[in-house]
Amino acid sequence: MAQQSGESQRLLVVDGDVLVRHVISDYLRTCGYIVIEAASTDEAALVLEDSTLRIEAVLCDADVPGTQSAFQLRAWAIRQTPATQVILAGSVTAAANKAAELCEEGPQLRRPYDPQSVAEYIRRIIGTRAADRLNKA
Amino acid sequence: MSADQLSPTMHGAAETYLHVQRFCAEEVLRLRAWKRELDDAVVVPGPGESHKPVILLVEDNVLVRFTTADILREEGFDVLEAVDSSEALALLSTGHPLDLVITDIRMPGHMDGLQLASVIKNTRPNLPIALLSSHLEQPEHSADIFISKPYDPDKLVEVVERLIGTEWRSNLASPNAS
Repeated sequence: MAQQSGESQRLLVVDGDVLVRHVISDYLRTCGYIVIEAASTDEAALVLEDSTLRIEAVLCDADVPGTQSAFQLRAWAIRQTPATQVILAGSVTAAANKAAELCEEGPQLRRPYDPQSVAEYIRRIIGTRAADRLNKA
Repeated sequence: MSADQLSPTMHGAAETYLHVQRFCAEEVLRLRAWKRELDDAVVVPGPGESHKPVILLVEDNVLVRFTTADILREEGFDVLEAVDSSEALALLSTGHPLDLVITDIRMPGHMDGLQLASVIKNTRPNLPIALLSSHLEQPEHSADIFISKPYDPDKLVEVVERLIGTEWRSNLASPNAS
Protein backbone atom coordinates (compact mmCIF):
# COMPACT_ATOMS: atom_id res chain seq x y z
CA MET A 1 0.00 0.00 0.00
CA ALA A 2 1.18 3.48 -0.76
CA GLN A 3 0.82 4.65 2.84
CA GLN A 4 3.13 1.89 4.02
CA SER A 5 5.85 3.35 1.83
CA GLY A 6 5.23 6.71 3.46
CA GLU A 7 3.29 8.32 0.63
CA SER A 8 -0.48 8.56 0.32
CA GLN A 9 -2.28 7.80 -2.90
CA ARG A 10 -3.89 10.68 -4.77
CA LEU A 11 -7.49 10.61 -5.93
CA LEU A 12 -9.34 13.12 -8.06
CA VAL A 13 -13.01 13.73 -7.20
CA VAL A 14 -14.93 15.50 -9.98
CA ASP A 15 -18.39 16.82 -9.15
CA GLY A 16 -20.16 20.06 -9.99
CA ASP A 17 -22.08 20.13 -6.70
CA VAL A 18 -19.80 21.48 -3.99
CA LEU A 19 -21.70 19.78 -1.17
CA VAL A 20 -21.54 16.33 -2.74
CA ARG A 21 -17.91 16.86 -3.75
CA HIS A 22 -16.96 18.00 -0.26
CA VAL A 23 -18.63 15.11 1.58
CA ILE A 24 -17.25 12.43 -0.77
CA SER A 25 -13.75 14.00 -0.68
CA ASP A 26 -13.79 14.28 3.10
CA TYR A 27 -14.91 10.65 3.35
CA LEU A 28 -11.98 9.57 1.18
CA ARG A 29 -9.51 11.73 3.15
CA THR A 30 -10.48 9.92 6.34
CA CYS A 31 -9.45 6.72 4.54
CA GLY A 32 -5.95 8.14 4.13
CA TYR A 33 -6.07 9.39 0.56
CA ILE A 34 -4.88 12.77 -0.66
CA VAL A 35 -7.90 14.08 -2.56
CA ILE A 36 -7.91 16.74 -5.24
CA GLU A 37 -11.32 18.31 -5.85
CA ALA A 38 -12.40 19.40 -9.34
CA ALA A 39 -15.69 21.15 -10.09
CA SER A 40 -15.73 20.44 -13.84
CA THR A 41 -14.18 18.24 -16.52
CA ASP A 42 -11.98 21.24 -17.47
CA GLU A 43 -10.49 21.36 -13.97
CA ALA A 44 -10.13 17.57 -13.99
CA ALA A 45 -8.22 17.71 -17.30
CA LEU A 46 -5.83 20.33 -15.87
CA VAL A 47 -5.08 18.06 -12.92
CA LEU A 48 -4.62 14.96 -15.09
CA GLU A 49 -2.31 16.86 -17.47
CA ASP A 50 0.01 17.63 -14.54
CA SER A 51 2.16 14.51 -14.52
CA THR A 52 3.76 15.44 -11.19
CA LEU A 53 0.45 14.81 -9.39
CA ARG A 54 0.27 11.10 -10.34
CA ILE A 55 -3.45 10.48 -9.82
CA GLU A 56 -4.30 6.87 -8.93
CA ALA A 57 -8.00 7.07 -9.60
CA VAL A 58 -10.69 9.52 -10.69
CA LEU A 59 -14.18 9.40 -9.19
CA CYS A 60 -16.36 11.45 -11.52
CA ASP A 61 -20.05 12.36 -11.48
CA ALA A 62 -21.58 11.31 -14.82
CA ASP A 63 -23.37 14.68 -15.12
CA VAL A 64 -20.46 16.93 -14.22
CA PRO A 65 -20.33 20.27 -16.08
CA GLY A 66 -17.50 21.19 -18.43
CA THR A 67 -16.37 21.43 -22.03
CA GLN A 68 -16.08 17.65 -22.21
CA SER A 69 -18.75 15.29 -20.90
CA ALA A 70 -17.78 12.86 -18.15
CA PHE A 71 -17.66 10.08 -20.75
CA GLN A 72 -15.38 12.12 -23.01
CA LEU A 73 -13.16 12.90 -20.01
CA ARG A 74 -12.94 9.20 -19.21
CA ALA A 75 -11.96 8.31 -22.80
CA TRP A 76 -9.42 11.15 -22.87
CA ALA A 77 -7.97 10.18 -19.47
CA ILE A 78 -7.55 6.54 -20.54
CA ARG A 79 -5.47 7.73 -23.51
CA GLN A 80 -3.62 10.43 -21.53
CA THR A 81 -2.84 8.46 -18.36
CA PRO A 82 -3.58 4.76 -18.95
CA ALA A 83 -2.55 3.82 -15.42
CA THR A 84 -5.26 6.00 -13.89
CA GLN A 85 -8.52 4.27 -13.06
CA VAL A 86 -11.55 6.38 -14.02
CA ILE A 87 -14.83 5.61 -12.25
CA LEU A 88 -18.07 7.25 -13.36
CA ALA A 89 -20.92 7.51 -10.85
CA GLY A 90 -24.46 8.20 -12.05
CA SER A 91 -25.96 9.03 -8.66
CA VAL A 92 -25.05 10.11 -5.16
CA THR A 93 -25.57 6.55 -3.90
CA ALA A 94 -23.31 5.17 -6.63
CA ALA A 95 -20.65 7.77 -5.79
CA ALA A 96 -20.82 6.91 -2.07
CA ASN A 97 -20.60 3.18 -2.83
CA LYS A 98 -17.65 3.68 -5.18
CA ALA A 99 -15.95 5.84 -2.54
CA ALA A 100 -16.50 3.04 0.00
CA GLU A 101 -14.91 0.54 -2.40
CA LEU A 102 -11.91 2.87 -2.80
CA CYS A 103 -11.70 3.11 0.99
CA GLU A 104 -11.54 -0.68 1.26
CA GLU A 105 -8.66 -0.74 -1.22
CA GLY A 106 -7.13 2.39 0.26
CA PRO A 107 -4.25 3.16 2.57
CA GLN A 108 -6.16 2.64 5.80
CA LEU A 109 -8.25 -0.33 4.65
CA ARG A 110 -11.40 0.80 6.35
CA ARG A 111 -14.72 2.45 5.72
CA PRO A 112 -15.05 5.38 8.12
CA TYR A 113 -18.81 5.59 7.56
CA ASP A 114 -21.46 3.42 6.03
CA PRO A 115 -21.76 4.59 2.38
CA GLN A 116 -25.56 4.56 2.65
CA SER A 117 -25.30 7.09 5.50
CA VAL A 118 -23.05 9.28 3.36
CA ALA A 119 -25.52 9.12 0.46
CA GLU A 120 -28.47 9.84 2.78
CA TYR A 121 -26.56 12.72 4.37
CA ILE A 122 -25.83 14.25 0.98
CA ARG A 123 -29.49 13.90 -0.02
CA ARG A 124 -30.53 15.53 3.24
CA ILE A 125 -28.32 18.60 2.82
CA ILE A 126 -29.29 18.91 -0.83
CA GLY A 127 -32.95 18.50 0.15
CA THR A 128 -32.61 21.23 2.79
CA ARG A 129 -31.00 23.53 0.27
CA ALA A 130 -33.75 22.87 -2.30
CA ALA A 131 -36.39 23.55 0.38
CA ASP A 132 -34.63 26.82 1.30
CA ARG A 133 -34.72 27.87 -2.36
CA LEU A 134 -38.44 27.07 -2.58
CA ASN A 135 -39.13 29.04 0.60
CA LYS A 136 -37.26 32.04 -0.76
CA ALA A 137 -39.08 31.87 -4.12
CA MET B 1 -68.29 6.50 29.16
CA SER B 2 -66.35 3.23 29.71
CA ALA B 3 -65.02 0.96 26.95
CA ASP B 4 -67.88 -1.53 27.66
CA GLN B 5 -70.46 1.11 26.76
CA LEU B 6 -68.96 1.80 23.28
CA SER B 7 -70.83 0.51 20.24
CA PRO B 8 -68.89 -2.09 18.18
CA THR B 9 -68.22 0.59 15.51
CA MET B 10 -66.90 3.11 18.04
CA HIS B 11 -64.86 0.38 19.73
CA GLY B 12 -63.25 -0.44 16.39
CA ALA B 13 -62.53 3.25 15.74
CA ALA B 14 -60.94 3.64 19.17
CA GLU B 15 -58.76 0.58 18.57
CA THR B 16 -57.71 1.95 15.19
CA TYR B 17 -56.91 5.32 16.79
CA LEU B 18 -54.76 3.66 19.49
CA HIS B 19 -53.02 1.55 16.85
CA VAL B 20 -52.22 4.63 14.73
CA GLN B 21 -51.02 6.52 17.82
CA ARG B 22 -48.70 3.63 18.78
CA PHE B 23 -47.44 3.37 15.20
CA CYS B 24 -46.67 7.13 15.10
CA ALA B 25 -44.83 6.98 18.41
CA GLU B 26 -42.75 4.05 17.15
CA GLU B 27 -42.10 5.88 13.90
CA VAL B 28 -40.87 8.97 15.79
CA LEU B 29 -38.55 6.79 17.89
CA ARG B 30 -37.29 5.05 14.76
CA LEU B 31 -36.63 8.38 13.02
CA ARG B 32 -34.86 9.78 16.08
CA ALA B 33 -32.66 6.67 16.27
CA TRP B 34 -31.91 6.95 12.55
CA LYS B 35 -30.98 10.62 12.94
CA ARG B 36 -28.65 9.83 15.86
CA GLU B 37 -27.06 7.05 13.81
CA LEU B 38 -26.58 9.39 10.86
CA ASP B 39 -25.19 12.19 13.01
CA ASP B 40 -22.71 9.74 14.47
CA ALA B 41 -21.84 8.30 11.06
CA VAL B 42 -21.19 11.56 9.27
CA VAL B 43 -19.29 13.87 11.52
CA VAL B 44 -20.18 17.46 10.83
CA PRO B 45 -19.28 19.22 14.04
CA GLY B 46 -21.68 21.79 15.40
CA PRO B 47 -20.62 25.28 16.48
CA GLY B 48 -17.86 25.06 19.06
CA GLU B 49 -17.47 21.29 18.63
CA SER B 50 -14.70 21.38 16.06
CA HIS B 51 -11.23 20.68 17.33
CA LYS B 52 -9.35 21.67 14.21
CA PRO B 53 -9.96 25.16 12.84
CA VAL B 54 -11.95 25.08 9.61
CA ILE B 55 -10.92 27.27 6.68
CA LEU B 56 -13.08 27.99 3.63
CA LEU B 57 -10.77 28.43 0.66
CA VAL B 58 -12.26 30.08 -2.43
CA GLU B 59 -10.01 29.87 -5.50
CA ASP B 60 -10.92 29.26 -9.13
CA ASN B 61 -7.60 27.76 -10.23
CA VAL B 62 -7.75 24.06 -9.36
CA LEU B 63 -3.98 23.63 -9.04
CA VAL B 64 -3.54 26.72 -6.84
CA ARG B 65 -6.57 25.64 -4.78
CA PHE B 66 -5.25 22.12 -4.25
CA THR B 67 -1.72 23.30 -3.42
CA THR B 68 -2.98 25.89 -0.93
CA ALA B 69 -5.46 23.45 0.65
CA ASP B 70 -2.73 20.82 0.86
CA ILE B 71 -0.37 23.22 2.67
CA LEU B 72 -3.12 24.11 5.15
CA ARG B 73 -4.15 20.47 5.72
CA GLU B 74 -0.51 19.52 6.30
CA GLU B 75 -0.49 22.19 9.00
CA GLY B 76 -3.48 20.54 10.67
CA PHE B 77 -6.35 22.71 9.46
CA ASP B 78 -9.61 21.41 7.98
CA VAL B 79 -10.23 22.98 4.59
CA LEU B 80 -13.47 23.38 2.64
CA GLU B 81 -12.79 24.12 -1.02
CA ALA B 82 -14.94 26.31 -3.25
CA VAL B 83 -14.31 27.16 -6.88
CA ASP B 84 -16.27 30.46 -6.83
CA SER B 85 -18.52 32.64 -4.72
CA SER B 86 -21.64 30.54 -5.47
CA GLU B 87 -20.00 27.43 -4.07
CA ALA B 88 -18.66 29.44 -1.12
CA LEU B 89 -22.16 30.71 -0.31
CA ALA B 90 -23.59 27.18 -0.67
CA LEU B 91 -21.04 25.91 1.88
CA LEU B 92 -21.72 28.88 4.18
CA SER B 93 -25.47 28.18 3.99
CA THR B 94 -24.99 24.69 5.48
CA GLY B 95 -24.07 26.27 8.81
CA HIS B 96 -20.80 24.34 8.88
CA PRO B 97 -18.58 25.91 11.57
CA LEU B 98 -15.90 28.14 10.08
CA ASP B 99 -12.92 29.93 11.56
CA LEU B 100 -11.55 31.72 8.50
CA VAL B 101 -12.32 32.45 4.85
CA ILE B 102 -9.48 32.80 2.36
CA THR B 103 -10.66 34.04 -1.01
CA ASP B 104 -9.06 34.97 -4.28
CA ILE B 105 -10.16 38.37 -5.60
CA ARG B 106 -10.41 37.68 -9.31
CA MET B 107 -12.93 34.89 -9.89
CA PRO B 108 -15.51 33.99 -12.53
CA GLY B 109 -19.19 34.05 -11.60
CA HIS B 110 -21.60 36.65 -10.36
CA MET B 111 -19.40 37.87 -7.50
CA ASP B 112 -15.67 38.48 -7.16
CA GLY B 113 -13.69 38.00 -3.94
CA LEU B 114 -14.17 41.61 -2.84
CA GLN B 115 -17.97 41.33 -3.15
CA LEU B 116 -17.94 37.93 -1.45
CA ALA B 117 -15.93 39.36 1.47
CA SER B 118 -18.42 42.18 1.79
CA VAL B 119 -21.42 39.78 1.82
CA ILE B 120 -19.78 37.56 4.44
CA LYS B 121 -18.85 40.55 6.62
CA ASN B 122 -22.48 41.68 6.55
CA THR B 123 -23.82 38.30 7.64
CA ARG B 124 -20.96 37.00 9.82
CA PRO B 125 -18.99 40.06 10.99
CA ASN B 126 -16.80 38.07 13.39
CA LEU B 127 -15.56 35.63 10.76
CA PRO B 128 -12.06 36.69 9.67
CA ILE B 129 -11.40 36.96 5.93
CA ALA B 130 -8.10 36.96 4.05
CA LEU B 131 -7.93 38.14 0.45
CA LEU B 132 -5.50 36.55 -2.00
CA SER B 133 -4.52 38.41 -5.13
CA SER B 134 -1.80 38.81 -7.70
CA HIS B 135 -2.65 42.54 -7.86
CA LEU B 136 0.36 44.60 -6.92
CA GLU B 137 -1.78 47.32 -5.42
CA GLN B 138 -4.08 46.53 -2.57
CA PRO B 139 -7.68 47.44 -3.49
CA GLU B 140 -10.14 48.93 -1.03
CA HIS B 141 -11.66 45.98 0.82
CA SER B 142 -13.62 44.85 3.87
CA ALA B 143 -11.41 41.83 4.61
CA ASP B 144 -9.08 41.52 7.59
CA ILE B 145 -5.90 40.98 5.62
CA PHE B 146 -4.54 41.07 2.08
CA ILE B 147 -2.03 38.48 0.87
CA SER B 148 -0.15 39.01 -2.40
CA LYS B 149 0.31 36.10 -4.81
CA PRO B 150 2.60 34.31 -5.25
CA TYR B 151 2.89 33.77 -1.53
CA ASP B 152 5.40 31.90 0.56
CA PRO B 153 3.68 28.86 2.21
CA ASP B 154 5.26 29.67 5.59
CA LYS B 155 4.01 33.23 5.30
CA LEU B 156 0.50 31.98 4.52
CA VAL B 157 0.46 29.74 7.60
CA GLU B 158 1.82 32.61 9.69
CA VAL B 159 -1.00 34.88 8.51
CA VAL B 160 -3.63 32.17 9.16
CA GLU B 161 -2.31 31.63 12.69
CA ARG B 162 -2.30 35.37 13.32
CA LEU B 163 -5.99 35.50 12.37
CA ILE B 164 -7.26 32.42 14.21
CA GLY B 165 -4.64 31.84 16.88
CA THR B 166 -2.65 28.74 17.84
CA GLU B 167 -4.35 27.71 21.12
CA TRP B 168 -6.16 24.86 19.33
CA ARG B 169 -2.81 23.12 18.80
CA SER B 170 -2.21 22.75 22.53
CA ASN B 171 -5.86 21.71 23.03
CA LEU B 172 -5.42 18.97 20.40
CA ALA B 173 -2.15 17.86 21.99
CA SER B 174 -3.85 17.49 25.39
CA PRO B 175 -7.50 16.64 24.68
CA ASN B 176 -8.35 16.51 28.40
CA ALA B 177 -7.17 20.05 28.95
CA SER B 178 -10.05 22.30 29.93
